[in-house]
Amino acid sequence: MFGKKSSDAQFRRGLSELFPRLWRYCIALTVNRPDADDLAQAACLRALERFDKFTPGTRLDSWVFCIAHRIWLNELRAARIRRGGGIAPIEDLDLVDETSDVEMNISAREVLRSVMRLPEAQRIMVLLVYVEGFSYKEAAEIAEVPIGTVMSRLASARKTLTAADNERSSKKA
Amino acid sequence: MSERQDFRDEELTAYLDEEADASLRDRIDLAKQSDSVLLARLQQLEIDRAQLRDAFGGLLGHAPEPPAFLSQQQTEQPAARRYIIGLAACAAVMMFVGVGIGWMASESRLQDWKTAAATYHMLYVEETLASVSIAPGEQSDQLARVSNALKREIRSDSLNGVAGLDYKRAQVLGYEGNPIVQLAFLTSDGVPIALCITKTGDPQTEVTASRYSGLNAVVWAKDGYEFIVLGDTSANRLLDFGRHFQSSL
Repeated sequence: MFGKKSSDAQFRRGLSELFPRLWRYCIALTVNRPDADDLAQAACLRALERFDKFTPGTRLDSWVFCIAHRIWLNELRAARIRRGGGIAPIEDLDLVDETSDVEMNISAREVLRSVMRLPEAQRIMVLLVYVEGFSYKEAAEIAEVPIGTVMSRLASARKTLTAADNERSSKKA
Repeated sequence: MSERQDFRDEELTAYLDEEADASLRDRIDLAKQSDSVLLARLQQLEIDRAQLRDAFGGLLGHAPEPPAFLSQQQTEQPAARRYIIGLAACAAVMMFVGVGIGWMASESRLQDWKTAAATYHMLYVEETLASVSIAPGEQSDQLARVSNALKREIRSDSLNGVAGLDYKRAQVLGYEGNPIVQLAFLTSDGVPIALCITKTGDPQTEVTASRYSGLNAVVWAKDGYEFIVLGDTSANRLLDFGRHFQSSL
């Protein structure tokens, strides 16, 4: 996508265009808007530092997602736990309620809430494979886990999401 | 009638996601024709991917603006980049100095130099400083350089000898064209701590606990300089560090 000699501006533009998706991935990682804001920004900063390590012809999105994933696991999440914050319970995620405007109907909010309630490892895989459309292999590389782990996490997530969907349907009936 | 096969949930998931290899796909396709239990299991794993994409698509409109530093033009990029690659430990510093000034100036979230310093410190982990070991002579040279930049003497005996705090290094950063001296420490339990100083002309203030960029901090002013101690540790511990430095510097 970017040659080694391509302009710095082109690389930055690529990151800018990617930023909303990167931020959304950070939401899936952190389940916390302030942390997602900080993580997305830190990932961009780290990507700029490592510009020369980016391989031309490969996907910028999966490369930057992997950076964000590493920062979250190795730095920010540990820091949040050390601060005593732990992993935020779903009730702390105000984002779902913030999006209660006309562009997101009730059903979509319920789906979003169901995914956000999944364990972190499953939630991330759902976002990468089912929302972002990455292949199992690509998702495995981003999260730095074996493909078998991707499969088992998605299988568990599917069961939970289907059960939640059935529960919602039975309540409506 | 073919013998009933047991498939794992992972295999059925791969099948539904069109990630199963040809052999597995053919076996499941065949089994579906006669295995009602298998059909029920597949149904149990069925999700609406389009609905998921739509739900998460709604989040994109709520993303903040891309960081302003992404729209900054970077002059002298090749030299800066070589430096960044060569000195991994200093990479964030180069970003801060070379790119960060414009970013910090225009980024609305970074309201002042203390927030900028805290945002930078967020990237510090134990490994950033654990391997830093500077010979006494080099330490003196470093402190002379930062003292010159700050126009205020920083002596090594002011930094060493703090209980539970190991002094690591000094460097000059920048914010809106003004030098910031960053003195980095590592606590005995591996928490990076930064003492940052810049000239502001502010009147004398006492050591006060605060928070910047989600990090605990203590701040004070003395002799026209403002000080901040940052770290991912308790406010009381930082207050102890801050009071020591207020006295020693």
